[in-house]
Amino acid sequence: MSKGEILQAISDAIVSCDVNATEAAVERAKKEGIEAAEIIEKGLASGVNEVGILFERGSLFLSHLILAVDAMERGIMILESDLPATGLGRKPGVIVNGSVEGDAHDIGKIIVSGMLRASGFTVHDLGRNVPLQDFIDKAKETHADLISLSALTTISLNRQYELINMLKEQDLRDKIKVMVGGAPATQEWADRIGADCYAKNAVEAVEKVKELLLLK
Amino acid sequence: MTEYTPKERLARALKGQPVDRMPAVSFTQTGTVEQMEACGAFWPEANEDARKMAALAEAGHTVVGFEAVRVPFDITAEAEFFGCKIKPGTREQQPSVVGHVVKDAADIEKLSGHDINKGRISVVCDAIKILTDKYGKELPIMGSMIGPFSLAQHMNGDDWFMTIFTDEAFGLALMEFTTEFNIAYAKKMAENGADTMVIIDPTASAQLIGAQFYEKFVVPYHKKIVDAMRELNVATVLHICGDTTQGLALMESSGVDAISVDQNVDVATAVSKVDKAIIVGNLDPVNVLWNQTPEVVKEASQKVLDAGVGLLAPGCGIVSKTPTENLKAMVGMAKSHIY
Repeated sequence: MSKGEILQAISDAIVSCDVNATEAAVERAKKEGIEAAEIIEKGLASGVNEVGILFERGSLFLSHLILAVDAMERGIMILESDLPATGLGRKPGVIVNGSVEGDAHDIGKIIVSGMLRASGFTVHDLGRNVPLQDFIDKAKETHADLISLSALTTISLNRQYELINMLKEQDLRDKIKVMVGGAPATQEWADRIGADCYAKNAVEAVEKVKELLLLK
Repeated sequence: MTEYTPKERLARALKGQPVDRMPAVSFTQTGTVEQMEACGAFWPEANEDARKMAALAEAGHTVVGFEAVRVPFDITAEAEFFGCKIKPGTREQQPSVVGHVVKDAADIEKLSGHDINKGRISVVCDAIKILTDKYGKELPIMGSMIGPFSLAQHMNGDDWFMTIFTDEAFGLALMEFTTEFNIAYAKKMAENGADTMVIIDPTASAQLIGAQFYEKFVVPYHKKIVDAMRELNVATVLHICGDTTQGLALMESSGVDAISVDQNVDVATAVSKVDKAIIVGNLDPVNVLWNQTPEVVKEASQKVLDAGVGLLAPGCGIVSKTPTENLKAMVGMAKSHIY
């Protein structure tokens, strides 16, 4: 097998959401002496990217997206042991994501996490009903660049405003960007509370985060 | 033209039979702060106490003018019944599910043999009884419950979306379990007087899981509930959030009488996608009903009516801060619509 074929096999394994095949393909690439960064970029990440595109088109679904990201993470784990910490081939972006409350409508947040991971960002998804200080603590612990905050009602909209004020109080506002989303949120709201951006859906979230974090 | 009671009118409309005009109803949650203030029954107590629950449901009729009464106001009583950790609600906010209880088949086993005469689901049944005694001859009495797929997701957590992919046998076993519970619960609501059953299954969306999985993991289970209700002459309405346009034909294959669609769906397209099912919806609860004026609500209602909606209603649960005057505007538009 040529190098291209080996990397393609990794990508294909990811697209078919097959964790075992992904792990086997990564092991083989390692044995062939392919650079870890290249395995990630041209094999794992390119596979997840492909899944992201197919998900957007509606030919693959949420289950596939979650599984593909999971398979990518497993593949990276195999490589991490023999990688310098900086050489992970990931895009420079760490994101803390969560909902300040939870109900059936926060499913969008899972998709946001999946799509951001598919785009190569490191995402720490704290789930739903997350206390505000937990977002900040996690962001400090992971040196996150951005906190993404989803809200479902007026009450939780105000939590987005509170979080921004807490970041200011703790002298972190200039270090951590804030993205807001959720049904009641709007661009006007984001402007009013001084958030860095607003995203209507997962696809838009990825675009906005790329703008904020990669075009610095 | 024949005069119908609201109960007859809705029953006929849900079967697609001719009626004098459109019924004005909401199949999704109706509780709002203004109604709570008017009737003195507030969340969170109205989620826990049968009398208060009935009083707030009644306000949907006496304060807003809906031609039906409907309980409950949230979709967490079922998960709570099985021991999922719940974040309590407030006056303005519904409770939500934060913990999960099922990881594998053994966990399902542990939960079997439950007694449905306990917990908040029993409170809902008591509230239905109170409402039936007072309004049962005149008004439709709506019971609602979370659907089996979303209940499974509450019990299994967000892993559920992977579970159905990676462990089909367990996924189907959990669906069997939740459906059996749904049927027992719905039957009890019907015994207490519910004549319309709303199945709220927000995450059972073909958009999220794809048609193949929807057909395997959702349709047969919805069909079981629908069949059990049909035997008791109870109409069924299925509500699933998101853009369900491509999934409507599959949703209808379960045999539900009506399908409630949210604001992401184009009503005219939806109507064209179904054979017999009545399309219900789909005013935006946030950007129209809550944050606009009665005039805007009327305009938006007119658009939905012109698109051929079967029943004008909110596209999802009503937001608790929604002004009564906006809801009244929607009710007025429905009442003045002749098919």
